[in-house]
Parts: sequence; structure tokens; C-alpha cells
Amino acid sequence: RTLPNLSPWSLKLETWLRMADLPFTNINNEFKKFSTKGQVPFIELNGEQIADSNIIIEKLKEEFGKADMDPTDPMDQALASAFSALAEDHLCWTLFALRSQLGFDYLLSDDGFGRHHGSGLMKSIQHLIARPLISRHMTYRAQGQGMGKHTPDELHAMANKALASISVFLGDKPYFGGERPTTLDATMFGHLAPFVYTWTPEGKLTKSVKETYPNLGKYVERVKEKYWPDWDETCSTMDMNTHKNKE
Amino acid sequence: LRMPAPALLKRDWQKDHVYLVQFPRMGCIPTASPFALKLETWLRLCKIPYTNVSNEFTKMSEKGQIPFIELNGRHYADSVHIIDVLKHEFKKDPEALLNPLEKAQLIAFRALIEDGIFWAIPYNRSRNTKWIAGDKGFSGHFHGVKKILFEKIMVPKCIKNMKAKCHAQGIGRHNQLEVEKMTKDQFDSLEDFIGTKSFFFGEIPTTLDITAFGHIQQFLHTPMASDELKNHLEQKCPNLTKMVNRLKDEFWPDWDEACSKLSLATTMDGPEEAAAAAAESH
Repeated sequence: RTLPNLSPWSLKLETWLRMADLPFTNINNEFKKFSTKGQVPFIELNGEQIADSNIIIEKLKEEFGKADMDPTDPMDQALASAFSALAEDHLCWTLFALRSQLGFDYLLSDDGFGRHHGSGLMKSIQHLIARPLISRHMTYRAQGQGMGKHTPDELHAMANKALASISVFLGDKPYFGGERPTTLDATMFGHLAPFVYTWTPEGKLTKSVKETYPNLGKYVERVKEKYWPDWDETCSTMDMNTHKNKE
Repeated sequence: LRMPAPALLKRDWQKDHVYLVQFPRMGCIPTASPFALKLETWLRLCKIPYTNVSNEFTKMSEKGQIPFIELNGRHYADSVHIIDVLKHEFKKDPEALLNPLEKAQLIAFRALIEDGIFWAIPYNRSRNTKWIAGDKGFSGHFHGVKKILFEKIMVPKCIKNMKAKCHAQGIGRHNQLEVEKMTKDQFDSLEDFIGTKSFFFGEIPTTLDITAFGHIQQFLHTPMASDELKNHLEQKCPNLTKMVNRLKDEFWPDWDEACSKLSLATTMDGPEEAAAAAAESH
């Protein structure tokens, strides 16, 4: 209800498709269809499945001639690679670990996935079953990746340090790529949007991106306005292809 | 709810002296833990007095990890946190002179190494495992039945654990070629960032260089699933490779001795000085 997709990787990929202006259709995985790597998002292109958002983006750049989605200067590419890792391999997991430790009620609420579970008794039963399964799975992933070992205070400190660095790197540029968005912008939007639009423990990290590092909050709003004009529509109706309504 | 910190391993500790708890030495590299190698090298860079303590393969930090330290009677876990603590306690900061943008870049490249490149290590080791129980690994520490138990029980358990972590984090779902490609691209980013400089931020090594050292040396010295990554580093990343080898020459003159003697007691200053220092502190 508060953002189109809770998976930052899916949000990243869809944002990339919109930035690269490629024709696409969303398909609902109904919580059960996963790629050969056991994940979402994945794509089907010309009859072939491609898995992993980064592998997908590389393939699409090649297939559709979108090399201009990335900087040409090697130093800029290196910085993009590093800041992408900071958002996707580090910051992302601090929030994931916080959700796995503190955030279940949110995930199962109507702001999260709750509306997909019907209503009344069916909803209560589904939650009863889903809750321990999701809890176990998220803990398994957070512990395996490593962030799950830290306390909430430590996770907040790490997240804030990462946000501070990303904020300095963005500075007053309109996009991380400069005047035009690059793949790094899709990545950053995918991973920063949850801090702006979804639950964070006691709202502290939302405050970080809106008040302590305001250029980040403003950046997320800017990208949303430009590339997700159907944001409110898709969130409220749960229709996955509202982007086509504009055409 | 925080668990109480584990009991101190070193009860008769010296003031302002770091006790670095890590795995015993191996045959092909002082330690297979990139974080322990980073931390020990950082202590040497910053000239902080320390003594290695073997974790005897079993004792882990309160977060279940190696390395950890004991300092002035307190337990500290997680190498990144430990370095922050040491900077504060010993007033040492290799990156004090960096400007805000450079400090931001340091944080980003650290993530590229410790949250990115790092994962290629357990990924590869969970596919090429036998060496850990052999000469290049820990075999020198064990004899007879213990050797067999280590090889047949402890090592497979450790590998299973590594595989689960790789799967949980995501890298475990890729095939070897995909992981090699991703890792090579990440190596190239480090190579482009260092350029022709001696170290990432100029002529003086920072914590980032030491972090890269701890990880890159694993690819240069320990067996992976193939030689692809080592070859890529040596052939396509000459500046990065030169930098980590420069650090090895400067801060690990006892590298070979540490490995051949499987000793946690070697120091930068040579065996005679080490023995004299040991005699002094007792």
C-alpha cells in the first residue's frame, strides 16, 4: 500500500526498465513462482528465463543497446560499483535484519502484504501459518548474510553511516549519474525508497533519510515523480500494470 | 536481549595490550579469515601492541565469529567495530586526513570488498574443500585420530555451514562462471579506483588498503575452485596486486615463518626480537 514492491531488487529492476524506456509487462508470482535460482524478480525475454536482477540488467543492456545507462569513465564506473555494493550488499541488509528482528507485524499488515490474504477468518489463518514460516526464513537469511548477528542499535549505526556516505556522494546532483539517471540510480531508488515509504523501527531511519540526510529523501521523491507517475494508482488498486494506462 | 559476553580467554591481561583471538596458522597463508588478516595487519600498521591467542578452532566471539579481541578486560566482536574501538582507545586513525567525499568513498569500497568480493571466498571454498585439512591448511596441527576427526567431521561441518550462508546471502545460487565474472568485475573496480596511486587514497595506506589486503591475499594464496580469479588479479589488476604485495613485504616479513612453523608468535621484528619481547613481558 505504501510502495509498489517490498523487494528492493524488484523495485530496482522495474525502475530500471522505466528509466531505460523498455516495453514490459508485470506478472504476479502469487508468492509462489520463483526463478531457477529460487528468487524474484526474474524475467522472461523471447522465451528465455533470466534470473538475478544484476544479470538481467546486463543482459537487457546488451539486447536493447542500452550501454548509455552506465558511465563510460572507468573511475565513475568503479564508484558506481562501490556505491551500488554499499546500497545493495550492505545497507539493504541492515533494514532486512531490522525487519527480521522487529518488523513482522508490519509485513503482515495491510501496509505490507496483508491485503493479499483476503479478510476475516481466512486472513487470520493465513497469518497464523505464514508468520513463523516468514520469520524463520528471514532470520535464516539475515543470520547467513551476517547482519542478523547485530543488535538493533548496531544496525541503526551501520545504516546511518551508509546513508551518510551515500548522501555525501549524491551531493546536490539530480541523479547519482549526474544529469541523467544510470543503473546506479535504479539501484539506489530500489534500496532507498523503503526507508522513505515503509516502516522503520520507531521511524528513526525514515527520519534519517528525510531530515538528517535530506538530499536522499528529496532524491527518492524526485525519481518517484518522474518514473512512477502511477505510484499511487498501483499501490491502491494493486494492479501491476498501471504503467500501461498512460500509453 | 543481549547475551553476556563470553568469559575472558586471557585472565592475566596486560593493560593497553590487545589480545587478538583467531584461528591457528595455516600452511599457505597466516590465516584463511580475511577479517583476521585485515585486523592483525591493521594492528601492525598502527603499531599497537598485541598478542595472538589461538581460538583452538572452537572459541568464537559473542557474535559467533573470528576474529575478536580482548582489551583491558573487555571482549569486543566484529572486526569493523573492533577497529573503531582501537582508533578511539589508541588514538590512531589512518584515514584522519581524508576529506568527507573520500571518507564516503572509503565506506563504499569497503562494502564492495567485505560485502561483495568477500562472498566469493566461502563460495569457492565450499567447492574446493580438501586443502583445508591438508598441508596448505591445518593438517600440521593434528596427528593420529584427531587428524582424521578434523578431516572427516570438523571440516565437512564447516563447509556445510559455509554453503548455507552462501545460499542465504544469495551468492550460493549462482554457478561458478557467474560468480567468477562478478568477482572479476569487482576486482576491476578496485583496480580502476587505485589507478597509478600507491594506495587507494594516495601515498599512505588507510584501513581500506588493509581491508583489501586481507581479502585479496586469500585469492592469491589459498586454493579456489579454479585459477581464474588469481590469474585475473595478477594479469588484469597489476596495481591492486602490487599494492597488496607491497603491504605483505612491509608488514609481513614473517609470513613464510608463520606458515611453515604454524606459529602465532612470529612478529614483524624477527625471531630474536620476538623472543626478547616475550621474555620481557613475562
